[in-house]
Amino acid sequence: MLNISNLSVSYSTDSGIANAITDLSLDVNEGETMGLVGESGSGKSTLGLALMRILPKNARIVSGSMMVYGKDLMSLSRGKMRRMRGETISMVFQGAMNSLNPLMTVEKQVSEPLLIHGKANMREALATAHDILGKVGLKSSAWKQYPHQLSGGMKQRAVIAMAIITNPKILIADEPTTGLDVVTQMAIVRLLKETQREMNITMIFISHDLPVVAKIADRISIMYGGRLMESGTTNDVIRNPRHPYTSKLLASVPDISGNQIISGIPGEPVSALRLPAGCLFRERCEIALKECASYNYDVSFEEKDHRAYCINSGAL
Amino acid sequence: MATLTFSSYIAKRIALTVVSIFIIISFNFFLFRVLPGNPITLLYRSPRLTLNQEKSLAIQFGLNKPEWEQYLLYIRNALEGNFGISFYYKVSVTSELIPALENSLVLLIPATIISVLLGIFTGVFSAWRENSKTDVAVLQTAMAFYAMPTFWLGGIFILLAIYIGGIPVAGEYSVGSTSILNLLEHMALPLLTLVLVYYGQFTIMMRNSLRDVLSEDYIVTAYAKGADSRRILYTHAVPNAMLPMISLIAINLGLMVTGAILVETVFSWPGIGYMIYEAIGHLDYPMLQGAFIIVTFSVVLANLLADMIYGMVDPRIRYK
Amino acid sequence: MSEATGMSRHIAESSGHIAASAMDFWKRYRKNKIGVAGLGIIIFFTVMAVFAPLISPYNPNLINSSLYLSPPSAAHLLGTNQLGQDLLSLNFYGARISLIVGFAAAAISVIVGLVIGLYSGYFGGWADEILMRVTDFFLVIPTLVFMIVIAAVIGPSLLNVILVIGLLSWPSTARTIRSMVLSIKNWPFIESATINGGKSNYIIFRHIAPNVFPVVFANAVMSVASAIFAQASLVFLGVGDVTDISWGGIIHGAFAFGAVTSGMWWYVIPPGLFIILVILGFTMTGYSLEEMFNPKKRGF
Ligand SMILES: Nc1ncnc2c1ncn2[C@@H]1O[C@H](COP(=O)(O)OP(=O)(O)OP(=O)(O)O)[C@@H](O)[C@H]1O
Ligand SMILES: [Mg+2]
Repeated sequence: MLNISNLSVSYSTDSGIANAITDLSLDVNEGETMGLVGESGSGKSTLGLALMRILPKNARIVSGSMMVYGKDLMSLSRGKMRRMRGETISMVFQGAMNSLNPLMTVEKQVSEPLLIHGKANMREALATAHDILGKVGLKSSAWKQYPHQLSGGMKQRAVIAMAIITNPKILIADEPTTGLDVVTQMAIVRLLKETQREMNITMIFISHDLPVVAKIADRISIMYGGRLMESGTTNDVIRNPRHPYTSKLLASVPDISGNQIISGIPGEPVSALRLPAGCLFRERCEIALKECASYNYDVSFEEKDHRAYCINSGAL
Repeated sequence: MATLTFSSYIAKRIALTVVSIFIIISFNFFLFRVLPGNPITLLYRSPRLTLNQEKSLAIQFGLNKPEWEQYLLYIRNALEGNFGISFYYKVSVTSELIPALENSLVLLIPATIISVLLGIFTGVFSAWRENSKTDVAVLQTAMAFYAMPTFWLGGIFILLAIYIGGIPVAGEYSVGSTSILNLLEHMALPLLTLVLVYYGQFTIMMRNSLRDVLSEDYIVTAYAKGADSRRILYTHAVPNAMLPMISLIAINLGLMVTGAILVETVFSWPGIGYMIYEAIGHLDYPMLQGAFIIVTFSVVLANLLADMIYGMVDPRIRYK
Repeated sequence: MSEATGMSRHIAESSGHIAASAMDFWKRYRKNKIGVAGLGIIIFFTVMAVFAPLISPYNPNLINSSLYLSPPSAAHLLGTNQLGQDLLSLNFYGARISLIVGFAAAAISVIVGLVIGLYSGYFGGWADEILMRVTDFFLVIPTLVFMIVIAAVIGPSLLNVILVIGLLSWPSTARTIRSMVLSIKNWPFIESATINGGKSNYIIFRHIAPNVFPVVFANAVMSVASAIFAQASLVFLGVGDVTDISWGGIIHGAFAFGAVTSGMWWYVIPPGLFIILVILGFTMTGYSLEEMFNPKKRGF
């Protein structure tokens, strides 16, 4: 139902053009959870923001299309796109700590999408908000509180409630567990998984943390330097990685909280400001070949819906 | 529980205000004693005063008592509003300063309200179009007004008024008149000058405050909910940007008073600022220090008021 | 041991790069139109101040009672004042006092603010609390009134005016520095220097101070503008040495001798324009420096 094809996004910065996403194609089926994994700076958040069409001013969608139910988001008028945001596509942002307006009570903020989209009057909206807040596990004593009075986990629950209150078709969850303690992380992952099942939401779950993603996602896409490295069912990708980057991710262990970037892959990630020609990963790759320098990202491994972009994947 | 921390916030502010007032009075006492010049002659003795006046001052301020007793007496007198006798007017400083304070407020309060409202309006306009041509134009105008010496801008208006004719350029009323209309006529130029001078700062403050808020994560969240520009601005961004404005206005009260002093001097508006100017010319030290204390007290109290408003408006303080 | 050598290498490297980074800095600064314009204005007035004797048509102190408040003429392009002094020359010479007071007072206030901000932020605790309350106090009270009272009592020499302005203007710099120190303190290499038993003063001035320097610099440039403003206001109110030639003093004279109310625009307008320009120059430069050191670009 969601088809991204050949998407390229760049930012203009003081030090030049940053190619955050290059020629990315990705399909997400209705009702499934797609896990999007990659190191910091690999363009995961950019993809989320592009889907919502709320990229910062200095960003530009250079090319490509994003189809939802066969309709290109890029071709929608600003007003039409605005009406889709929070109604058809919702997003839970990286860093929920700051995602709430400090001057509004939780129930007001959570009910706001219903008011914006004219789905309810104030009273009904509040009632629905209470309903949802209860479902995500926020006690009624917290409903009338302000964000600063809530713990990190509670804020994250509130933010999730806010994103799903309109029954969206697509939910983008951008590192929803970052900054939380391990117990809370697990609870939030469970909550998202249940919600997704119950409401039959199509979910894009963004994370650094491959093990966590493996728990929740039906399929996984691995990104590096703004490009897709590998994608396939969770089982295929985890059991039978066909890209050296994926294997490295699997072999390395994130720190306890999962906040920190995966340690263990030697070398620095490529910079979006200076992407090398050829395979982006080749400088950190142990099985790189000479030909990798001229690789042009034709699919090099394909088996059913398992794809990888590595010419030497046979060596794995 | 929540209200408890809120009242402790208020209590803390009040305590700080009391300390500030205490520092101001003490500073004044010591300034005239530590610095060169004889405090007695600087403050209490002048050939212009009668012998009786000098005697009663000596008793009121305990001039023949030890220094520490003088200090305590000084504090008591200051709190009671007794700052001695003006060398120039030969009456108690307070009796001159109270009406002057009223005159200052007649000018300052409307000027502040008008300029804050205008500043917020253009600041919002400008921040919303950050880095656009309009934004740059607004910013440049605001900066120009900000850089303009108050007294000079006043001078320009006087030049213009005289060129046009019929607009009063000095005083509060024409001689013998007490009508509101006459007051308003006299107020026009000083008010205009003050509004323009203040306006620049408030515009820049509001613009920068709002610009910072617009880059906050919760604004992105609001966009993601599907909110339109109107809602983003008026429901989420502006209220959050107004909070720092309250503190900024409070912090800038001192600067605003400076502007008022200069404007009053330029237009001979009989407020405290004009009194200060005259006192400098007359070497009327008791008047100068009385005016200093009253002005600083007013600013400190206005700050307390601003802190209280802030505390009531910001839930992060109200429900700690 | 290896920590220590690592540290000194870090310092050696940074000093070796100063020239290169200055070039780099200028390359970036040059792109900032507002900043370049501001710098141009500052240079313009500095040249005016330095070469005042060369560009002034008359000795500004030359009194000629037959030229009482004369209007502009070919001989005196901006007319003369109540003493018959040439206003154009007075305006050129006026740049000197403005810049001297501006630079000297800004230097004092920035040095005081820097030291207080560094110590306050680094040591924290009681001393910090007191320093911040004092700063609050100074931020809130109307500084000009304070300056007037002090200057009136200690006598209005140029040095006194500089001292009064400088010593009453440091609080905002102190605040800014303090909040920066609070975050820099937690940088790993500062922490490790602390753990390795570095002397506080050494850490503060060798490691922390260089990192706040850019902001101090921007702050100092802004301070010059407000010092110039303060000096002009003081002189206008009659505080300060009236025999010193300054723009504020010229405007003071214009008001005192009825030039304004008799419509003598040539007496009032030029010194005010100079003040505006010079203040804009410093503000624009300081503003651009701040933007450069603290770029914040976002929003849709
Ligand atoms: N507003 C921006 N302006 C300029 N460059 C940006 C901006 N936002 C992101 N980038 C750049 O785009 C690239 C991708 O960033 P993005 O935030 O999408 O990565 P990410 O995978 O979400 O990383 P993280 O895991 O740290 O959240 C990075 O190189 C980043 O520096
Ligand atoms: Mg991200």
